[in-house]
Amino acid sequence: MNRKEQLINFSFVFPALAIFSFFYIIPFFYTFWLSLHKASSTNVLDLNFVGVRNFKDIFSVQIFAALAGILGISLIVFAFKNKFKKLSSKRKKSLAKTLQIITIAAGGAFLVYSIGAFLNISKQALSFSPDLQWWNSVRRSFYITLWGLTFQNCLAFLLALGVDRAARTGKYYRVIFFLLPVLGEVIIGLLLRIMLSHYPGVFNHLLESIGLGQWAQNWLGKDMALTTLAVSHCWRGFGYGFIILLAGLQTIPEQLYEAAKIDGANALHRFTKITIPMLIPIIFLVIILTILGTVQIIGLPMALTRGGPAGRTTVSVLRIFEDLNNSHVGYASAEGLILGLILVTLSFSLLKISKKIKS
Amino acid sequence: MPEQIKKTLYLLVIHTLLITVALSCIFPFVWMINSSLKPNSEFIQDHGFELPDKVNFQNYIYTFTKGNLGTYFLNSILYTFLTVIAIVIISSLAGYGISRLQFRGKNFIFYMILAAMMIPIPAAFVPLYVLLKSVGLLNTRIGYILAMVNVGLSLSIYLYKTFFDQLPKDLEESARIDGCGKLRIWWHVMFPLAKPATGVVVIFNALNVWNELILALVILSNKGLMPLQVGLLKFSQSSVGLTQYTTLMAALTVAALPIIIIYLIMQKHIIKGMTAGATVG
Repeated sequence: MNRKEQLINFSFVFPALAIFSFFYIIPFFYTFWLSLHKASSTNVLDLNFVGVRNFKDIFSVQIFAALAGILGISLIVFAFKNKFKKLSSKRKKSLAKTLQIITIAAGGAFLVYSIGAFLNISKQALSFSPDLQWWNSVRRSFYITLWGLTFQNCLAFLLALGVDRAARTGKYYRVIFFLLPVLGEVIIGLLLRIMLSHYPGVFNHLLESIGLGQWAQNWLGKDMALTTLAVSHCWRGFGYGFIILLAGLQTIPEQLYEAAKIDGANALHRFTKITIPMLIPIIFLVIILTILGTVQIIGLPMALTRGGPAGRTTVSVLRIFEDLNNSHVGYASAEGLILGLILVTLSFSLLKISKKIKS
Repeated sequence: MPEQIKKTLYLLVIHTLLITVALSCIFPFVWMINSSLKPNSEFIQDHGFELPDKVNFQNYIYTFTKGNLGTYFLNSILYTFLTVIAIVIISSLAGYGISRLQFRGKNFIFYMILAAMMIPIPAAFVPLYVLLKSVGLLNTRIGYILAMVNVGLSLSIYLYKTFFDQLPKDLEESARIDGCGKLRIWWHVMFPLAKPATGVVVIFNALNVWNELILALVILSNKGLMPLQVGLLKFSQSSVGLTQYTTLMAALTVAALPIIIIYLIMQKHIIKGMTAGATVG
């Protein structure tokens, strides 16, 4: 194939690649670069290199040094086990050797840095001070995710099972349950804000009128706000899991159940021996989607509580957004990287577990 | 007939649960529309649980004249329309190229796009803000549209590519024998054939852009450029939005009703498109 034809063929992908490069690839690597900088308070384009200080501020010096040490040791262990051998054919033996040496060197550097940092800490007697505001916002995100994984997914599963059985009316339920995910987070969040806020107290009024007046309380007050946010998120989001699980349930062949029935298996048995094992990949998919979707929520808290009262519902991405608003771009990038790393680790290990269960 | 009774009871429990949840999904919107038709003072007294004494559209008039909702609405339509068109053209071109044409680095590009779908960057808006600012695209329509095109691009390319992979090659061959160029084959043969994929791409991306919040919030600070979601948020934080509940609900109704209507008409396709999009990603 000649050059000209190659160029013509390539031009089909070019517009996509151009946009993708500028809006995804460059920002992706730029995040790493930005996280090593601190912007001046007046102009975010005026960046000063500060090294790993943002990470030290987030983790505290002690934990950061410990993490560097752990990373160093695991790199060295990894290199000595010589995992590279698998990668290479005979021709690439020398490449594997070089990679091994580079990894050992990098691991050694991290280890030396870590030891040096610890010696320095003990000399300067630095106090232990991780960025609690940030870690609390991460904790809140995961608190909501916990609700999503338990309450939201159980509800979705229960409803999907119910609709799977009640086949005739199932169509209407599908339409109704999926309405909330289709509407934007802002609309739902603001609607709930009016319903739940202490004044005029619509929801409390509703509770009183059905005789549950003792449950009435300030749902968006400082004790309840985070849980209210979590439950609201579950209520808005269960439709996704519901639809995916329902589609999964309907692919299980009816004959399997009937065969089991003839063999004398009761309903519970059929559920645990047929339904659950058949659905494992889909259940894991829903779990991963729930985690990725919930940890990164921003629209709902912004509309419902704006992070308040007194920061009690400031979730992690909202915190990053606030840092950006205060033109702490470097710090916000570092926070984003840490959160992204947590999410990638979580979802990939879940994928691995699901593959292990399958085989 | 204990077996029969047991079954009836079982169905009763299932349906009670289903109906309760279904009501909780519908009731808030009925309540919202009902409340938006009354003055605020009436709403505060009856909490929106009674029909309005006299239907009045004062709130709606206010949201459009003073609340700026018309501008936000038109902006949202513009952004959704342009973004979706751009995504459909760019991603079907790329999908066709990756599926059928040969050039160096093709697989690498495809795997990169796949990786982009799998790796979450929760703070992607931070570097994007700095980059857009440095090239002067911050607070411009084109900057926001391009950013949104990028958001939907990788998934759409993937959908088109997998769709084209399944198509037989005969049609293309005969078109080529007739002397069609590659671009014309794409436009006259492949793109029309890919209607199902286009449907999923359009629906998924249209809803995605319409409901997008954070990038709009970061990129657009000029009130005249804001889409509906950001506009609603701003409106809800204004003095009117914070105190005049029924006016805010009128604004929410204006934002929600078109989506609800479109959804009810096209529910089958929307559910299919959204789940296809979510499960692939």
